[in-house]
Amino acid sequence: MSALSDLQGCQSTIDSAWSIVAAPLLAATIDSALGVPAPDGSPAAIRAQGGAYLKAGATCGQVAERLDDVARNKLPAAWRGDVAETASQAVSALSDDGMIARNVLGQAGKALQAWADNLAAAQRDDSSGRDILRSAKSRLGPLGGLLSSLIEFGDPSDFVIAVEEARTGIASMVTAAALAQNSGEATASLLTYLADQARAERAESGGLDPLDAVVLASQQNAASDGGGDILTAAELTRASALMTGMSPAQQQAFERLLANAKSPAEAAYLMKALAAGNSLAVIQRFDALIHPYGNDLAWLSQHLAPDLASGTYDGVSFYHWPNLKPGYGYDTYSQGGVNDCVAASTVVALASLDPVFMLKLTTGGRPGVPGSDSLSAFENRLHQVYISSYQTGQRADGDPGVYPKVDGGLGSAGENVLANSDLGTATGTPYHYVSLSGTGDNQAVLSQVQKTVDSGQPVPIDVTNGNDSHQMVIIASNGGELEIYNPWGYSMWVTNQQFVSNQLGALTNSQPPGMPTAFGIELPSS
Amino acid sequence: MQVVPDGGFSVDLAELGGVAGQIGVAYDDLTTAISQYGQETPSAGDFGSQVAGSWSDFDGAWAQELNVLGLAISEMVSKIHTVGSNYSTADSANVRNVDGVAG
Repeated sequence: MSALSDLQGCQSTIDSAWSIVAAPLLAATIDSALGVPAPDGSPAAIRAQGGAYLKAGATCGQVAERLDDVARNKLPAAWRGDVAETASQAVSALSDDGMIARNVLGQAGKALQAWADNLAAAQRDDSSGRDILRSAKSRLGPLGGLLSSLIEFGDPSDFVIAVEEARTGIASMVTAAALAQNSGEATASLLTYLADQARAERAESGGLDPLDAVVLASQQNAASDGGGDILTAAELTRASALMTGMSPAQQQAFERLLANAKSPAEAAYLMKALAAGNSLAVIQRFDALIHPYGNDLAWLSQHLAPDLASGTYDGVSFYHWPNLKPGYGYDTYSQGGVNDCVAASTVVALASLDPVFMLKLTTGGRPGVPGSDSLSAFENRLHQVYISSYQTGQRADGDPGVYPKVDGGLGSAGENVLANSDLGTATGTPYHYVSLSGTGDNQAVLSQVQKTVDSGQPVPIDVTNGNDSHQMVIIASNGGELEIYNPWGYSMWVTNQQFVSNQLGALTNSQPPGMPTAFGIELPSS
Repeated sequence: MQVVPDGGFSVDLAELGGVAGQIGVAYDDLTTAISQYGQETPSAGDFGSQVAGSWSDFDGAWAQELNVLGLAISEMVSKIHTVGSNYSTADSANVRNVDGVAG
């Protein structure tokens, strides 16, 4: 129970006290309310820390601008050639990290100052509410109104005043607790999200040298939708740890692959392949296939990273009429008319984690062969994998047959098998099914969901409207919102509150009635 | 990362020295940022029980991120200096060879 819910319980009791007979209960309830801890923390210390972050962030901005000038102007003027180009990319990555530091510390500084203001207001309201409650209690007499009408109330109007005071006091405390809880939750959520933006330190702590760590962590997909980081925070950590665990010979071989990469982006995809659990031999074969395109950032992005924001391949939609809203037509990644949402969402989540798997889908392992990476070839391969995964899940469920003979979707056993065989393998963490049966459960798992997707691990989510059910995947968080990929071929953002209060219908409204209620998720075991 | 020779390059050693100096100034600025970051010494409890854990994680992660960035910038300065001195050595050797042929 939170302070807020405890105080709301007291408020309900106090608000219903209207007769002098209730005086003892009123006194006891006032004692209970006064026993609830006040909002804790030091607004002055929080404000000072916020100010320090703002100052440090502004200075990081200067660092970023100076390095950007070096990368764009001064270095190319002093030094030309391929080595110089690589050096400029590295300085540019340093600048990017400085700019991220500026933005993150600026956001954290402002958030802490807002938290300090809200906490100070909450503590003020709580304190004044407590003073009023104490006054009310004193009016009820030393025995708390136990002998109310006989001894303690010389004037019956004292009871009326005590009730009024108690109502005012508890209302002030409830307001204070609500402000502290809501503002505290929002601040904690934002800080958790921002902590995961510190990505180079994860790679460095795993054994990469600092410059390589910053350069690899800053690499972005060059996709038409704005890309996003090639390596998630969890992937940086896992790849670095796996490198540390290699034999000296393997480590040397992998470092040689990184050193020979034509661009930092190619090196980042090799690290991503390692993080997804691929062996050195597989990564060496993978690199042999992508190396000819190592300095073609658009090619790398188009063939190694699915564009889940718009559900397109190479920026082209499949069977998607112009100006159609998402979901109103079959996009490239859409499951189409088959009930294989669990397989489709899991396979696409795997494709976003494992560039080796994605390359097989986009090229059939034959990049450069004419037609091998055409939209239709990609689409065929993708749907074959959807179907084979669907059939694997059906067997795990013990269905009497498999698709196309049986097409009833998957149960939790099949879902769990796919989550573990695909996502568990690619993230190095087993997944387990968590049943959700209401807003309390949703609220309870929210922070773990945020933490999981912040670190780059997808979270499959089951939704229903009471009749139909569907699986989607939570793929990102920004502190206040969650991005959910729907295997109908697109992603949408929903607020944390929409997730908690089971208002997710907009994601599936293209096939009415939408399915607003979450009833289960797959979470990695921590 | 690999560098595929493109058949030509040019270096202005004086300018390259200036580049290293500029990156060095960025390093100094970052050192200032690190000091500003750590100038307060609150305890986690100051942030309230709801926020304490998240703040600790954030503060530790970003203190380390700034340190790694500082080390990376310093490594870059050192690499640029090395490049400058390698080219400078190569130039001197070329001059000596040319002198030898002429003599």
